[in-house]
Amino acid sequence: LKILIVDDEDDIRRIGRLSLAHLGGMEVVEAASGSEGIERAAAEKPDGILLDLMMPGLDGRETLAGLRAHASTSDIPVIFLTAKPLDQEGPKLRELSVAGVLAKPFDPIQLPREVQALLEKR
Amino acid sequence: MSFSELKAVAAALESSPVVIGLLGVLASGLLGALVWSLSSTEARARGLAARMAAAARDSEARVRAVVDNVVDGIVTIDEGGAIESVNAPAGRIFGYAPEELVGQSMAVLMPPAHRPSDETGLRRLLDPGAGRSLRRTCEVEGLRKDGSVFPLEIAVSEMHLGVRRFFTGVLHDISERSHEEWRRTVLHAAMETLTAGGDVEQALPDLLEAVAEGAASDFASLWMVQRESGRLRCAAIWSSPAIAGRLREATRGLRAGTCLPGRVLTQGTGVWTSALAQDLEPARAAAATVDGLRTGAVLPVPVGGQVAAVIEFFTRRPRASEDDVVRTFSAVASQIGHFLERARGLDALRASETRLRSVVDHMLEGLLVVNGRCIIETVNPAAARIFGYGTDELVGQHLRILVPPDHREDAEAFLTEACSKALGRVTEWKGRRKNGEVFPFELSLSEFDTKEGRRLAGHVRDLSERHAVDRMKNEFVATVSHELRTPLTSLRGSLGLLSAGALGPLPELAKEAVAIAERNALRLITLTNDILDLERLQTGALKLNLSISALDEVLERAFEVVRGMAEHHGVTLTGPATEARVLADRDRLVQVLVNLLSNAVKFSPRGSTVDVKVGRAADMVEVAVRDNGRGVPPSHQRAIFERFQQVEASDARQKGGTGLGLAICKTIVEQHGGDIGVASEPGRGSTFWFRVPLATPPDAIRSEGFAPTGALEQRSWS
Repeated sequence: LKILIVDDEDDIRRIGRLSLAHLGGMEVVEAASGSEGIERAAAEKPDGILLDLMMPGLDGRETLAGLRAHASTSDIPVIFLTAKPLDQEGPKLRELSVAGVLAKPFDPIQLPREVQALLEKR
Repeated sequence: MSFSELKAVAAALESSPVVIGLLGVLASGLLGALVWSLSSTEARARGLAARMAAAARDSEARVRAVVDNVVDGIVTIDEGGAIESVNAPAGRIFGYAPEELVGQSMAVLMPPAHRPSDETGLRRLLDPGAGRSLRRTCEVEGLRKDGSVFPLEIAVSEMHLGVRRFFTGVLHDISERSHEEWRRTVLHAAMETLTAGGDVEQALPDLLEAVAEGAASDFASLWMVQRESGRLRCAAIWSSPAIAGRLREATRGLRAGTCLPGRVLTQGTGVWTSALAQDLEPARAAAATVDGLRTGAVLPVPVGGQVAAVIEFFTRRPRASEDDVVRTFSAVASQIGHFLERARGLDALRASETRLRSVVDHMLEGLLVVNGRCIIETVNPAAARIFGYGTDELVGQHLRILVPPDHREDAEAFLTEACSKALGRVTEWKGRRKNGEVFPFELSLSEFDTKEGRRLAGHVRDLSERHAVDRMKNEFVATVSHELRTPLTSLRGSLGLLSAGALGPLPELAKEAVAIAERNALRLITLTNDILDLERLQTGALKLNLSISALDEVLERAFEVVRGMAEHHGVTLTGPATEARVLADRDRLVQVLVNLLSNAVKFSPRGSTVDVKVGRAADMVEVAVRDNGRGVPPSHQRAIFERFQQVEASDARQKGGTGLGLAICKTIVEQHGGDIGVASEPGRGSTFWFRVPLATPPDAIRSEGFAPTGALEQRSWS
């Protein structure tokens, strides 16, 4: 599995990589912004994208719209990462027909399993 | 006297204004009476036609009766000042039998002070000189047989019968009237003072002046009884221009206890003296003698059955202490008493009004009073400020101008709605400022009755600032918790990976350190979550998702969450099976139960049991979690449901709580329309319970009424 992590926080991308690559044995590519994420997605064709919701520049929603707008990336399943309360944001985000929503701070031990489960469910 | 002479008498009489009325009443009978009075001696009857004499004699008895029953006295005097005739009322006025006066000099009816010294003077009095008419009405003083002086009104007419000239006086005793006038003057002065407003003390000199002038006094002083000491204090002194300053000085310097007013205060009754110099204190006696003051009246002024003041009047004229005069003085004193009573009442009222007004004016809370027709009657500055108006602009306006445009058409309906919602409660409304801005305000209404009908008082508080602050706070809390989560994600992630050995094996000591770091990172995360949860619950940002839920399922989910922790602490969890269904937000109810269960587990000794019971009270379900921990002292049983309130300050550290758990539980339960509490005895464990509404009372459960906590065990389901 190849996963693209889009987050403006370097440390979070690194933790995500450690968790997914080390524990989950996945291939991980990173992007530090929404626009970079759209480019990398088109270039790398990942099996799934972990997309942070709040970012400077293009935020999560706008990045998702950008991904959906390109034929090459429109079908890639997206999992939102949010630091906002899930009960508040979750239902609205799920309406955007994403593969899932995960809350920060996530459990790095559980993360590979959760990502895999969400992608398989789809 | 010929008929033509009679006509002359009648003409003379008719031209006197006082007599006109009299004549109107008596008509021809009075003419007859005058004829009688003027011709009462045989000598004067000579020359009258026999016909006329007979006519006069015939009517004499009838006429006499009429004349004697007239209120006014009639006296005839000859050119030399000798009294020729006196009717019965005139005799009564002067205290004589009429026949005692006939033939006497008119001087006997005059007070010595006004009495001419000889006959020449008397003549001059009657005949003031060519060109000056004697026909006039005037007020003079009369002397009664008993020596008393009294005011009387007299209309004198000069008459000519042939060569003879004589005078008729129609008299009217006005002592009653002048007393009445005096009383009225005092009343008027008192009324003026009362309506003028201001301080009673400042009004006293004016009042005293009016009273003293009305009494034709030359000197007067007013002494007030001081409330604290009960002693007299001279409050006002008045004197006529004829009185020298010495008496004022002496009066001011009097010692309250021993002076004449002091004596009156002590004995409670008035003093009347016609030998003023003898009865006065030595300090004033000399001054009074120099000023020629002779008579004095010193009277207590009663207020509500007690002497509140003493008033004294001195006059240079001799004045007998007659009943009616004393009565009038007493009446005036009591009039002053009424004045003082009312003025003091008004003063107290004014003071309390001023106090109240200043409270209302300086209140930070706005106050509006409207009548039943929605007209604004009272506005305090705060309310005017809130709505952006001046107070003057709002009074008399319709409430409609404060209501947002969408309510304006029907301000009455708005008021009715406001009444139904805000009467005795604090509610939130939208208002409209003068500049058109619509803003939130807090309103609580109270209702009261006045003589003019029902009134509504609205207490108004501008909420726009508070709302802005709330918004800022919420944003702040949301931002902070978000900003905390980002570093916490990295922290928790790193530590989690380390402690799980995902990044290679750790030395034992490092493992221990990493475990501590991870545990505390998790605690920080929980705290962040709890703060955000509580904030959102309390501001209403978090809405309950209510549905009919099986309580059984809620219990099961909560048990699942806590089971691991219970095993770790060596505590057994037991709970009932229940068919109860509740109207609740399932996730939130699980949150409450998890909180109570994890608290119970944390505080239970190893090897003990945490027991959950379910009971029913009316249309509520009660869930109770009983532990065998150290218990909650009564002093803390309420406080622990507040934020960051724990029984021991160290609990948060040692037990890993945030201090927010129970506050969150309370908020959630209350938002369900329920209740939460604890029953505990220190050292014997605690039972934390909450009640939420039952969805449909299951038939299977027989209600035995409300089961008070503690006795719950016997009433549980399952």
